[in-house]
Amino acid sequence: MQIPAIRSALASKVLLTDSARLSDRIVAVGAYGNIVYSKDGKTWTQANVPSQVLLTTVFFVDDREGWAAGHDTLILHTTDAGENWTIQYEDAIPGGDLPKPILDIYFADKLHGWAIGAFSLMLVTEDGGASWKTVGTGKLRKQLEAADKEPEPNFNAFQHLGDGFLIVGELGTLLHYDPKLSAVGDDQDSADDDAEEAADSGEDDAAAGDAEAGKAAANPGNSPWRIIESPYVGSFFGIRQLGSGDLLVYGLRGHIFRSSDLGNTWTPIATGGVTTNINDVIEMDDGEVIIVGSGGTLFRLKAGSATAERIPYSGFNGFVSAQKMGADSLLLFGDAGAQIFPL
Amino acid sequence: MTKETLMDRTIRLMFSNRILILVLFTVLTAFTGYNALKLRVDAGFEKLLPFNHEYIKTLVHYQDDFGTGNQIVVALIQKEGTIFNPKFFEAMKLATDEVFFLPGIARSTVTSIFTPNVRYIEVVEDGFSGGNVVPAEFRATEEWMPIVRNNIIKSGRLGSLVANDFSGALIRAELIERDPTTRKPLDYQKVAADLETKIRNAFQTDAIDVRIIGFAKSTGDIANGARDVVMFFGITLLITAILLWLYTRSLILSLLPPAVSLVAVVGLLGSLDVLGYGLDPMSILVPFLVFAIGVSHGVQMISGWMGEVMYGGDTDDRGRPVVPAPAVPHGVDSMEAAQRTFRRLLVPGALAVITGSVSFATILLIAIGIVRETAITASIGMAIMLFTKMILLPVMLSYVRIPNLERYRQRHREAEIKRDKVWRFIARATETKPSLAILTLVALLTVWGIYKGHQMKIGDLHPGISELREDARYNVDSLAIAKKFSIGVDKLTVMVEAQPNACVDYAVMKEMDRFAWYVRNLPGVQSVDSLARAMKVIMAANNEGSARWFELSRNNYSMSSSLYHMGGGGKELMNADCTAMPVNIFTTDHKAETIDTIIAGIKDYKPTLPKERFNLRLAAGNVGIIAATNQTVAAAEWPMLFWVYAVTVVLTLLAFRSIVGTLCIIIPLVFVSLLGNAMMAILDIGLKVNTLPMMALGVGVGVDYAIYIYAAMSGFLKTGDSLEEAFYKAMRLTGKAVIFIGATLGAGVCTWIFASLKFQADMGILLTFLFVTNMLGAILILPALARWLLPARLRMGMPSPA
Repeated sequence: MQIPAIRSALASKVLLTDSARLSDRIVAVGAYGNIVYSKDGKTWTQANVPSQVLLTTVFFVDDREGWAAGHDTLILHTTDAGENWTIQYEDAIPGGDLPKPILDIYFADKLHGWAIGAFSLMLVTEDGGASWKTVGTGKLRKQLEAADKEPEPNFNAFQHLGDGFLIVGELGTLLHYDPKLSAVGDDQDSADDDAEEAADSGEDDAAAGDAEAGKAAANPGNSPWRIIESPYVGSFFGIRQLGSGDLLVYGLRGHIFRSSDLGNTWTPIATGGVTTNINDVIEMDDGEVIIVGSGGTLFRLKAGSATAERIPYSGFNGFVSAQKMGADSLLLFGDAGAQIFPL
Repeated sequence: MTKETLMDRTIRLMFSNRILILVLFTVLTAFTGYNALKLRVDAGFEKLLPFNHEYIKTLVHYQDDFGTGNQIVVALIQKEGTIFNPKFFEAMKLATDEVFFLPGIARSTVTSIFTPNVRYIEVVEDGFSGGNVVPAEFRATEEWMPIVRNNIIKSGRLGSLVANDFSGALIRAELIERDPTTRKPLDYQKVAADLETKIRNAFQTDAIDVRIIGFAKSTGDIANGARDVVMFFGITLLITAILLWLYTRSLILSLLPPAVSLVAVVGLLGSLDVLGYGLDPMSILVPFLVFAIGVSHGVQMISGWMGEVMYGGDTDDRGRPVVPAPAVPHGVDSMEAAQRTFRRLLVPGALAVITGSVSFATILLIAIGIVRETAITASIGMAIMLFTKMILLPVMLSYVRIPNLERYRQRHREAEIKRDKVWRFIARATETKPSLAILTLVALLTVWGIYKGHQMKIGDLHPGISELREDARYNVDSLAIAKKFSIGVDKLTVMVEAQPNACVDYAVMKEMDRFAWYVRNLPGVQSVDSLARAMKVIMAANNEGSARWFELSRNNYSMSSSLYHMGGGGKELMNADCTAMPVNIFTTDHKAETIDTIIAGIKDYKPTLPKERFNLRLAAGNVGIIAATNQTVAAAEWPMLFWVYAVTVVLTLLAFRSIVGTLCIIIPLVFVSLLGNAMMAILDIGLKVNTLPMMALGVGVGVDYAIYIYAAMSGFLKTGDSLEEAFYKAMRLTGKAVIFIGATLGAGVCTWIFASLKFQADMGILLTFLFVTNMLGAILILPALARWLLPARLRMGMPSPA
């Protein structure tokens, strides 16, 4: 089904969407199945990748083992620090319904991992990715419907927090997911979910649906999902916990919010009215946060400050991911591939 | 002897109707001269296309959907700062309107930030919105500048319609070669002139530079440069006349050959107009070549005539002219001299002209309109020349009187005696050792020529237009635009052919995207645009501008939605039913090597889909045309040379009925051709549509030297002279004229180095080389070859009966 990525001298110069730092290298993933790695951010080596789809996320659990994922609900796995990759999972059109690209992936340890993506996709593994199961989101959908929100929002990014996750996504989606809160196991939840889906497709009666949703919303104790009141109606593209424990969420049209109470309340960060997307943040050693986004957007946010300060940049290429490169440089990834940016 | 009688009758007929002939030529010259004045410069885009080539068939097949790539690009560049000032926008708007209304422009193709086909999309909380980059309510005021600036960035046209550093913006438009209603061909000179007056002059200010490129502009500039040809023509004429005066010491004799050649050129230009042809800037050198060859034959004629007037009438016991002339020469009158010269030169002269014109005709083999025009032009010219120099010139010579013949003869004779050792020395080329030395040198040079000739490249070797000089306005503009904008002017289009509605078929679109990425990785590719890329842009926009969605969707509703959102912009990337979708490959330049690498790469691509679902069809775009032209030229090179030589061999065999003679004439020509290739490699002149004919013409120019010398030499050989003696006499009779002609034409043509057209300058060097080497080949290689090819019986001669 997949066609291996071609060897390309341009692999580090075209769209790269995510990056991961290992102790002695940085690995980045992107368009056409390109995965590249580099020690210094200048010379990049292309990895062997068995696919040409757009990869959107990469995560390493240690210096050797990692996962990358993307469109076609594809999950790739490496055990040699990103040099060779194998396909662990793919499902081009899950359930024959809609294509659901994976947009973020995370492993708590070598065995336990989660991947999230479009249309509330969530996959989980307990065996290091040997097998992946769909996490049911039927209950969430009912809760969202009850709250009059988009019932199947894209999950754009998540942050591991305690036993669960804070998930951000489309149209202001801000959720807490805690598998431990689920009264039933994942398998059953999943089976339950499938049953619900089947029931849904048979139900054309709006009233019946409403009744179902109302029941679920009224009984949130049974659900691993909790809807957090969102400070913004637009989409969030990322969430990051800083060293201080503060959380940042960021997304559409220059919006950034900070929470100092693990997501219960949010205060906006001023970005001077930019209309470009904020895609990633990176915390520097002194607690300063660098914010990157589309159209050449770069901001600096001093620790504790409520106003982000624009970093001048002459280009218009977008940035999707950033890494620290030494004390005073950044490694930026985006439309134009990888580039070093001196601060 | 029937031949003699025929000849006698011809001569009688010709010289008894001298007045009639002169009147006839005067009338014809007046008529053609009048028509020549009306001759128009006639450039065309379509006639540059190698119409039989599969790439061009692709281009023509899809030209209704995607145009032919006959584009003009007008760039307005702010000299200092950025374009974001009201003045610039006012100029840009007016310039866009002006281009829109230029005659010949396909209005729907006009594209600039001011045209409604240039839109931006912007992601907002509940989806995305879009609009024209410069909205209808726009006013050229400071307040609007930041808005337009943002719209430009959002439109994704930065680099293609607006300079990467915002220092300029451009207007693109396609030309229609034939008026859709009147069917009249487009007047490129008018378009080029319009671009200068209505665009450049109107918008060039202290603050704004106007840069214009495109076929219409380059052909206009070439035509302007080609006007120089007339001046260089004049210079060559003058040089020829001066050298002729030094040679003949007679005003009338030094004016006659150029004048008669001029009559031929006027006849050619006039006939072109009468036949409904124009003169293409690219074939403007042809009349000059006709002139050069005409002078060459004319000099032979007057040289022979002078000889007859001064020393004619003396024959030795074998009925041959006495060479060198006896101490008290006889001499004949002008009339008799003209008739004798005519008799002697008719066969070699006609043979040379016919060979030349047939060899020009062989370039008809190249199926490119412009080359065929060149072939026709050259052949007509040669045909006309046959009449002027074989009929007009002898008739005119019969009227010429040399005043003070005795003194003239005396002076000439003294000079001849002084020069005699030169002829004797050259004649030693027929001796064993010198001939071996010459042939060894020839062999070595041949090896070198073959080796170096292999390095001769096909096509353009430099960026820009190679016909124009590097610092020509056009090339400067071209470079400036390439530097400021990232979508270059060099585009190779590969058509993806598929089943109807393939644009919503994920497999096809993914294959297209994969192909685009594969091509992007080929060396020489700057960027690639395709429907797949445009869909990915919309997919990302549909998903709130997230780069993580910059991928095709497997869902056909998503795909058709993205087509819908593309609006008019999609029309350039697919036809109505999606059975044809061009992949546009922007290349770093249009050098032949770059193109070859990319095309070879494309041919290596292995699609995962069967041909009926995904067929890659080469090619369109200017680079596609160049590739097709290069391939056509390369394919024509050997067949053309084969036919040129085949024709020359057959005609020479017929005329001299001698294999040895044919070899003596052909081998030096082949040698010069080989060295010519090597010269082109050294001078970095690529083999192109306009240089390939020069190779055939080179043979045509060279062949008459050898024919004149061989004809004279064989006459003496047949009557018993030894080779050395015969060659010595041939040198005195026709050889000295050959040397004179080679040197004169070489001197005339080498002034072209100063021509404003690079093409003309290159051809000047090449032709100088061809004239001089052909001359050397005829006076040195020919005798050396004869030494080894002639049977000993002939070579040693027979003892004089006396």
